[in-house]
Amino acid sequence: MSSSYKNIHQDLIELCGKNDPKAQFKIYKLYYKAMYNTSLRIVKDAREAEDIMQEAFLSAFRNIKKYKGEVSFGAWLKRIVVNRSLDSLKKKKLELFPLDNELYKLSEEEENQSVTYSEEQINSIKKGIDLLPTGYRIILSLYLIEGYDHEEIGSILNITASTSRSQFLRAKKKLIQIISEKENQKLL
Amino acid sequence: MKELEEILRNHKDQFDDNEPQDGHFENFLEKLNHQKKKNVFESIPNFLKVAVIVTFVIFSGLIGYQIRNLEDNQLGLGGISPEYREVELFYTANINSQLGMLKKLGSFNKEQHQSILQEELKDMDERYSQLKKELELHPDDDRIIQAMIEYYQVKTSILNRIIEQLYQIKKQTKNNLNTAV
Repeated sequence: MSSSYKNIHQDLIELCGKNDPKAQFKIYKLYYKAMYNTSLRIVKDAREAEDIMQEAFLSAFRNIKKYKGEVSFGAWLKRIVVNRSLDSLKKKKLELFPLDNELYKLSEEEENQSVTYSEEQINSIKKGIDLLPTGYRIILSLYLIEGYDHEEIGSILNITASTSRSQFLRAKKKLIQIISEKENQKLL
Repeated sequence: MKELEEILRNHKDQFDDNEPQDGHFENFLEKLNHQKKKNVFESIPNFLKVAVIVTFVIFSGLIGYQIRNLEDNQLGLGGISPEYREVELFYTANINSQLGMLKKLGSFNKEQHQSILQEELKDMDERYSQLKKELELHPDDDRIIQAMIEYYQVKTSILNRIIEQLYQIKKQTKNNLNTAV
């Protein structure tokens, strides 16, 4: 493993460490959208996601000395965004995994249903993710969209990797169920 | 099953399509500037902060002490008018020199007598500070001013008598010693 990750905007990041507001704003422009969407997928509240995202940038600039370059700057920043978003959910006392296993028992049939790619399909997946229960939504987006593996998700959510794996599988089944139900409704 | 994962993984970018509210850039710039101001204070080394606080405490203590002294002077007899100020100065100078003489004479041989004198003087001073308080409440009351002058007069005359008597005692013991020799 390389101890130092070479970022595309390494010079900008170094300037941020020197508290250069111009460089900090440039970094914000480069990363805000990805960070905003990451937060939004977790907290589901536009205002809050924006606030969390901006505070995460400020906190990253304050603590930029702690960034050792083991991962890309974007990945480091994203981890701050994810943690802060989860903290905000915790403050609202939202339980992430009260999910009753029985409730989401899925039939074999739905499991085997395949999803094919089309522009329209992406939209229905998005809508489907929005309809998932909070815990499922978070695990699914952390795994598939943010690209964390189950070990990482385990440490982020303070659960075991195997819990993350099984919860993810349930989330995926549930998502497929939602999507196919929507499609059936359209056909009717 | 695999396909859903693949679709999602291959089109991640399409999931990042939401934009924050208009004006979030300005909002963030404002936060950045605010942050900068805070950083200026945070960047001051800790020992400097401590030094600033310590000097502030010392200065405020000194100033407070001086203000209290000023107030004391103003409230006393000397605060009423320049004439009274002179009277007060005269008496305090007199009393101070008398106290100095008492010390030179070695005052009393017995500790007990010494402490009685101290107690009496303390009592008198207390009465004077009471008068000061009353003067503050009734600045125009002549009786209080009169009482203050009397306090000084009584104090000097008492000290005078003590000194005289001590002097007499010393003289006598000296004579006694002389005749004994």
